[in-house]
Amino acid sequence: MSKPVATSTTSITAPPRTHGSSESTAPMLPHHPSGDQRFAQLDQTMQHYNYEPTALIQVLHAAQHSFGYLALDVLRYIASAMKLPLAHVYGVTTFYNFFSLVPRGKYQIMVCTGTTCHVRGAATVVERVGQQLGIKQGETTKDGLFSLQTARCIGACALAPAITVGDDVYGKLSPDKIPRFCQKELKKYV
Amino acid sequence: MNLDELKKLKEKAQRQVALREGNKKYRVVFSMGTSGIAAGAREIMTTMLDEIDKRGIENVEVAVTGEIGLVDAEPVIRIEERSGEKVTYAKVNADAARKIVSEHLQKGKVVDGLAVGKVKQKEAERLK
Amino acid sequence: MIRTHVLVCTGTGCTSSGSLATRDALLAELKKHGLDNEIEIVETGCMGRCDLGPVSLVHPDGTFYKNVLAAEVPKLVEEHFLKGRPYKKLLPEDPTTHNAVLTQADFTFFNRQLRIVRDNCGVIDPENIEEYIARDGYLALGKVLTEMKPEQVITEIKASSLRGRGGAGFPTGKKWEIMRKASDFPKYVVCNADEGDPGAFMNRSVLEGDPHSVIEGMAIGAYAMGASRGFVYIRAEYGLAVKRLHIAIEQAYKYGFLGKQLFGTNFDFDVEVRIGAGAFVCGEETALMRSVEGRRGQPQPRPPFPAQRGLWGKPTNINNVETWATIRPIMLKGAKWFASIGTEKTKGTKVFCLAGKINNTGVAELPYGTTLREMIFEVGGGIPNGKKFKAVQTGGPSGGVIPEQHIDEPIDYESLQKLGSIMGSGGLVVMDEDSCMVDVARFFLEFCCDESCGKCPPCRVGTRQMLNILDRISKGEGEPDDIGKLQDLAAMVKDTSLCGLGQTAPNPVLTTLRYFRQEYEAHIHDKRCPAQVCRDLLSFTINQEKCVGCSVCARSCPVNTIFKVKGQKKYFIVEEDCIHCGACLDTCKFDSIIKASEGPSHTAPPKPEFEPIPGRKMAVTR
Repeated sequence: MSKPVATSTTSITAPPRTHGSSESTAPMLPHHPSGDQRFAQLDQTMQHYNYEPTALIQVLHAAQHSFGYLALDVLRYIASAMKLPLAHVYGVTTFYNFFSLVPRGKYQIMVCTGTTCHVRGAATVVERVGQQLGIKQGETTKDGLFSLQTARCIGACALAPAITVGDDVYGKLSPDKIPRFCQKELKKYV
Repeated sequence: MNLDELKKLKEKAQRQVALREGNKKYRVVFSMGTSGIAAGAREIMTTMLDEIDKRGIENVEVAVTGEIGLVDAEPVIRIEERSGEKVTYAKVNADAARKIVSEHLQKGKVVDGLAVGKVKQKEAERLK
Repeated sequence: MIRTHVLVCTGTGCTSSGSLATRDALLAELKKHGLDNEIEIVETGCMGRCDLGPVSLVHPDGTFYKNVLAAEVPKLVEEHFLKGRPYKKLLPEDPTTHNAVLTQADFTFFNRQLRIVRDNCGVIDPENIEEYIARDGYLALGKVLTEMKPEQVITEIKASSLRGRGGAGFPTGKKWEIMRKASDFPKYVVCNADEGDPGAFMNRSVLEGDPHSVIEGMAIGAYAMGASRGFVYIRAEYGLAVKRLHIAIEQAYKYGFLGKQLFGTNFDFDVEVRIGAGAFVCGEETALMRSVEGRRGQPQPRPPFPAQRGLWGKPTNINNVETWATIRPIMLKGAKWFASIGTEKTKGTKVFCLAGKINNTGVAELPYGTTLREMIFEVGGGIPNGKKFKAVQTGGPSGGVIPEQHIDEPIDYESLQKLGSIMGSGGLVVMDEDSCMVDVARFFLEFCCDESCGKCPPCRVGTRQMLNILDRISKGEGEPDDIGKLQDLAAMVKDTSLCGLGQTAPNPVLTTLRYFRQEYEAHIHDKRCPAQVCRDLLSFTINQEKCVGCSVCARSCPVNTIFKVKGQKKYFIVEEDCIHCGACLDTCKFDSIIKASEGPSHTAPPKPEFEPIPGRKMAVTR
């Protein structure tokens, strides 16, 4: 790499140290002032990776997993703990589709819009799921339960059109099956 | 781990998956129709499976099938060899089952007193 | 003694069809009949037929069952395990021969395959390293480390003529040799498991079904190239594959196949998993490396190539999942054997993903040189519902569509390139007469436009401009010189983009223009979509003779634009407000909704007088 992305005293380009050792060289950080236990969890994750700048994406994954989304406060916390400029952390967060800066529903409904799903009617599926839930793509239902998104390809092409709800994959959901799906299957999550 | 240890481990592990390779020397088929079950074929099968396990015989697979066709002589089992040779045993009781394992499956000797039908390889080919 | 193994697929596809419930039901049912001491349930990776899921394979008979839902389990146990006869209801039918299939060997989809990479997939429990060891697992690594010099390994790989399976088809042996000669240390090896092409899921199926084969391949490669650290970069979407990879790495450490001084030699090798975060461009190697470094995944100009300056500025080798998984069989069976398979220029087998409008969807491994026709009509079993084959899309968003007149071409890198498409990762999406080629081109371009990292203007701006034109065309607002503009823009984006994403992004547009120009012309000049896909060019009407007045369509219409004809038991669609969503078409049981794309010459039927439907708000007609 010729140039680091961010101008910082910490070298982002340094190769990683082997992580997982109990003797961390980084100092123990004080807990987040809010006393929120989720920050303690985040501390553990960062410690596991030895506060290595290269593990930023992995740390963001962990943070999003426990907080549901990446609030600015969380990003700030990560930046200071990992000794990275906030701009760098923010830049990485916004580059990747997986990370969200705004709260999302308890369950993510992802409609796959890969090629196979597309030729089998994914666009109509997105529209009809939205109609059933009364939201548009990228929005969250009023009860905060579901948010509707599209995925590039979840690799379940043999089951096209496919939808994931949280970690569950549902397949062969052609547009005409959507009303029934929303009325029956989604009830399970309520 | 060195190479010899790996080879040993492989031999041990192969036993776990050998069933899926489908190239065992013997295939023991149990007649498990209504009359077979009534005559105790299930119990005979359990006895036989235990015996095969006890003797550590590797080259056998066990299957069940419908009525073989000797209703009055149940429990009936048929042992098929990969070469095509088939031997049918009738009225098999627990002792006979153990004997079939120790003689036929382990040593390759047909238990004459119990065998009712024997199809030799040549004949098997002719029948095909 | 265990007499029967029941292999239950617990890959992502079958799990979503309910295979975990099937497994539990099987366990309970076998216990109920006292069979749990003789019959063992084995959870395996993908068997390749996700659409028939949950699938199951019973050994030693080799009986292959489809749709083994938990509710079918009691009957299955009674028929197969107690009475010893196949449960006919769950036997799949071969669409080529129309026969019920008993074993995989009877199924054209399976018996045409030659499995090298996927040899263990769906056969072993991927979470049990001993089953992998039983199938010669880590034997290749052991032999390489104790009996071969690194140079010999590279010579062997070169002799096999193995080419990278990631898409470009660069000779793997040559790549390794360059890396071997690099004098900088430390060196890194990377497995690219960021399978982003929509329509491709072969890497997922390998990682889910046989993760150790990838780890072993990486270890062999690291030894040959002088690396001691490896990374697997995998997409976050592949939850199960990530989980199984973690388990496999943990077990490999425990058994001493990873870590320090492997097989008593001085070779150390560590593997770490890095999870991506949803950026298609990270499949490009320079972008991937930046993402592994925890940064924004933006590509960089090459040279310098990763083998010169890669991760943290050190020499790095990046190979695809399938390439790594092919190393082990080559080292076990020899380069000569491998080179005997495939075509003159491309050796070995390729794992293809068949999807789209095709009977047998799934993962299939065949030698290079198989023709597209054999793939689609024999292995794939042809097009469902008696529809006509139109085109096959290969290589994902970087590839192109291949029409019927070229499907006798053999599948390899060179012939696909000649047709304007690329091999890519091996995804084959089949399209029938109901697929609109303008829509397909628009779909892929939208994909590339969205996924462009934004670093270089040709890709960022060029794809957007092309998309705007295609949007216009599909809305019926195309202008006569749009085709020329598209071609100019495509050439510019292709020639001047920084990385592979931009350089290949115009391919879908160019191939559809090359083979289906008349469809573009119909959209532009006649304002008509021949395949009846582009919504703005459709019209929905109700056949007044067939309509029985059941009102189902009116109730399903999201914009309330279906009205009851005054004084009659019939309904009518007011075209001005219709959004062409097709909800009425899907719900009508009397086949009375007519979908058409006839262009502006088509005159709408005279509007009758309406009466309001009780409880429904009338749409405000513009």
